[in-house]
Amino acid sequence: MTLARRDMLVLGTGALALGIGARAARAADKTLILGCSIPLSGPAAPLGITQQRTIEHAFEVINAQGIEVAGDRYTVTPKFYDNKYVPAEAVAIVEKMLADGVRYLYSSGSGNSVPVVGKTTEAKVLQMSAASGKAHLTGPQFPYSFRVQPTNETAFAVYPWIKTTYPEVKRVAHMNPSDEAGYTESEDRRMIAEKNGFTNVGNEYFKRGSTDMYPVATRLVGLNPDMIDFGGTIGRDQGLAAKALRELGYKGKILLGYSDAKSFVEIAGPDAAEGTILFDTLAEAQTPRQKELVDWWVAKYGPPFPTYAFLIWDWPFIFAESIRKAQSVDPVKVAEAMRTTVYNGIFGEEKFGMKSVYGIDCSLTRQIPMSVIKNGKPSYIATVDWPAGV
Amino acid sequence: MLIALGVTLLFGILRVVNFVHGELVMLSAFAVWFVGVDQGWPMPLAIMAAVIVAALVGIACQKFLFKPLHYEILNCFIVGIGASFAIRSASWAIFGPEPQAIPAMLPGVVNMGGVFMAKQRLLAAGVCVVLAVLLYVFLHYTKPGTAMRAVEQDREAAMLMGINPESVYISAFVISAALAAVGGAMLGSVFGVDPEMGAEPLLKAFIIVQIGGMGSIAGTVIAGLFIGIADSVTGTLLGGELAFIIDFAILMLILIVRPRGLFGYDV
Amino acid sequence: MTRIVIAVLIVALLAFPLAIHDAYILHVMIVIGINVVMAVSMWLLGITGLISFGQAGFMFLGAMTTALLTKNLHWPFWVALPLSAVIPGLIAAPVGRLSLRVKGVYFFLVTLAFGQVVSGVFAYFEDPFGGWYGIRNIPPPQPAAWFGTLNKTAFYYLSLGLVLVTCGIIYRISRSWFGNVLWSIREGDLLASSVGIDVPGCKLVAFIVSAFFAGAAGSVYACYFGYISPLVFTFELSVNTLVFIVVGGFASMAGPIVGAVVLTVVPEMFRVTGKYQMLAFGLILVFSMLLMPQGIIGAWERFAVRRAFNRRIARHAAPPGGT
Repeated sequence: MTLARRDMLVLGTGALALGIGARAARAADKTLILGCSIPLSGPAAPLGITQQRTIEHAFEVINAQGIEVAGDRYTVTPKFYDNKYVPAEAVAIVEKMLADGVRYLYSSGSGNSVPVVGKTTEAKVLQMSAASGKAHLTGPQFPYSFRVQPTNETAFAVYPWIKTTYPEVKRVAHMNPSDEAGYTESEDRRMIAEKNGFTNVGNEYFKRGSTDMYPVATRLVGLNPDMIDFGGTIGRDQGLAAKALRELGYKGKILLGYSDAKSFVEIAGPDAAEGTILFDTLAEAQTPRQKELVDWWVAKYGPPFPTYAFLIWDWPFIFAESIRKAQSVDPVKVAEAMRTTVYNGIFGEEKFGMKSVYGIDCSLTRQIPMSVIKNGKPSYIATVDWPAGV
Repeated sequence: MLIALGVTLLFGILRVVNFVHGELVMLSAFAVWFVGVDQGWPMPLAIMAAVIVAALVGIACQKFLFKPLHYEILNCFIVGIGASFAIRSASWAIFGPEPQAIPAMLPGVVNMGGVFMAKQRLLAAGVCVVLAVLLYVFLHYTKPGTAMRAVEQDREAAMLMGINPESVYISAFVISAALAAVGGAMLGSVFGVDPEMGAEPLLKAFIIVQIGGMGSIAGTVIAGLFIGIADSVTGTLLGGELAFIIDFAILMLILIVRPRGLFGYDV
Repeated sequence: MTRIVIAVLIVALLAFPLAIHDAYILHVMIVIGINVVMAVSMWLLGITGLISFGQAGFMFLGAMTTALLTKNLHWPFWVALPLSAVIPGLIAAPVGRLSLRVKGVYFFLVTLAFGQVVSGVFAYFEDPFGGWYGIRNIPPPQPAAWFGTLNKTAFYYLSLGLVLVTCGIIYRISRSWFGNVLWSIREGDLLASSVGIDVPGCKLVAFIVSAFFAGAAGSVYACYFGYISPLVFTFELSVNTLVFIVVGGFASMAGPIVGAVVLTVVPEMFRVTGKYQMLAFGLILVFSMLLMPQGIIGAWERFAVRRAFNRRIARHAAPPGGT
């Protein structure tokens, strides 16, 4: 049974490769299909659209050179599916991919990645996720599952940096949406803040997409913190919350991420946004390679450049590098190679680590860029190296 | 609340659940942003433009979607859902991933007995009350308004009196679209503009309309205030999570105790 | 005639996995099964003209029952399945008693609120309901060897079995004396009660039965997907179920079935279009309603009636020289 399945899969991949290869100009190229399960409609659509555009371009660059494997030249074709941020849709996408013989998955959002990881593990599919989801997503029991964008993990790098950069910050309050991502962020951030010697004075949740942020802001201000960590708060909730906090007289610092700073400033208003610290946000390109990406986006889609694109730019190259290193297109071998691949990306040396947390090296570690809102505009302040030993 | 007024009008009079209403709000917010922010024209002009856009889309909905279905409630519901899926999806493709913002006309907050309200919201509430009063006067003291209520009460009888129900329907759609446009401008200035912005306020609007009692303008205004304040109070006292459950529990209770809503009459 | 068609259809469905081994197609079939059960159970109450948006809530209750019993207490699935139907049924009794006091759109809203309260409560209490994380790794039914993650045949039969049982029972109900009462309530409940029918009682029974089957659908969902969370059983799920019924047609039980099948398959066909999937789906909904306001079944019946009529005309017109 299993043997027959594998044969069918190999045949399927071969047939697909043939079909597409025949159409392509270079008949010698072989093609790998990468299934991408991303939200293209619904509230998370902005992230999904940015991902699609960035990933498409990354593989254009990779395919121009091709990936040499044992004398064959491979190219990667990403195929995009709309998971609508609904778990059942994500499962259907993976079923379709498996049936089509696709052996590589990129998945965005923990609600879409966690429910499928059992399936991809059993089918020996290499799953690369941009998601939180803790040990439910990566760990020794999921050897082919990787986290290609650090999410809540960035706090490991951010809190030590805050401690040295802003020594006046002692009391930290946390604000998160009341859902899975919010809970994960909240737990991890409280734990990491405490480890770094901060006092957690409070932990508040709000309903994501809620129209009224004054209730949660009132409670937070009452806790009298030096810094409020917005954790897993994303999108317009950030701007509304910052606006409400400042209007209620909050004077301390605000720490947030997962943001395109521009719309945050617009919704919060420049006064309320002033001084906000943005973690894992690169406000302006610092290196020529980062600049190159911005120029391409602006030339193709026009300004503004979504800073999120920086964060998901590198993983396709790491994926390609791992295939080269494995000298095989077998996902199991590629996964093995991926665990030890070191890639020099737009955020310095990037490799999979965090064995101390997940029991296996599976989560991307890299430099974390930090920005701050100054004069109503995000500006770059520092790049934090990944802490040793995590 | 403005959105709720538009819903009341359509719902109370035509018995049409217009699911596209949320998309009208979204499109007109984009119109306001485009004319007022992107092109830099004065705000009143931008809102005018939004009203025109919304009215056109409203008429199109009436002509091509709801009229052919004879305003059958379930069918209109489904058509509305389909159209709103399509419009939203197309909007993502057209407007791209970046949300836009309309600058607030009045920044700052007011403290009302421990519950804080942004001035911009109070402005929105003020505009809403003015429009509600206008709408009330229109429905009760002008000829087209009376005709509208006549159609609501008895379509056949109204036709016998020489009222053309189709033109009543069209004007109801236009007015409700205009209300959606003003609502969109207000909403956009508080929450920013993106293709999903219409979905949540629409659900809220339906809830407000039903608590207030269908077709009752005073009821809608009071229910809107009530829901807004209840949201703030439970949120402040209990934290965001419990408030979510409590709000819906309150809603269930109100409807079970007063099955027609607070100010409604039998339908 | 119809009986033969249905019998052939059932045999074909039973034999389906023998011919088709494609896991994706079987997956789609399983999802169709769950959707059909949801649509048919909502339709039963829909006969009376009441649309319950609490179906997602009852489905969640059933799924949660199965998850807790099989995962935390290690009960066999086959015990949990009936309990997952009975418990939502029991909860539906007081809920229905209260919410059926209101009519029309107000009923829609009360049940909507009920669904929100259910998922709110499950989301709030992380122990034992998993909170917003939901519950994952829900064990499959026994024997586990048959219900592997990648082996869909057993799940297919489970889902098909549930569909057949549900449709059989609900068809019987809708054709019985009780079903006639439900149809008469749709026409006017004052009239129905004036001839001595216990209108609230009948509505309540229909409400409980539809909650019962929604719970069973939830149970199968939980063991098949192995993952449930408040993100799954949302207001949108109830809306989708209603869309199945209306697009399929209200007039007979075939409506919700056809609607659920077609509207599960069509979005799958457009899945490859990525970001245009929802656009295509929206347009299809709009046009199907404009072209077939009575649903697919309504359109089919009109077509069939007209064809029969034309054939009869043709037969009468055919003999030449007839007077």
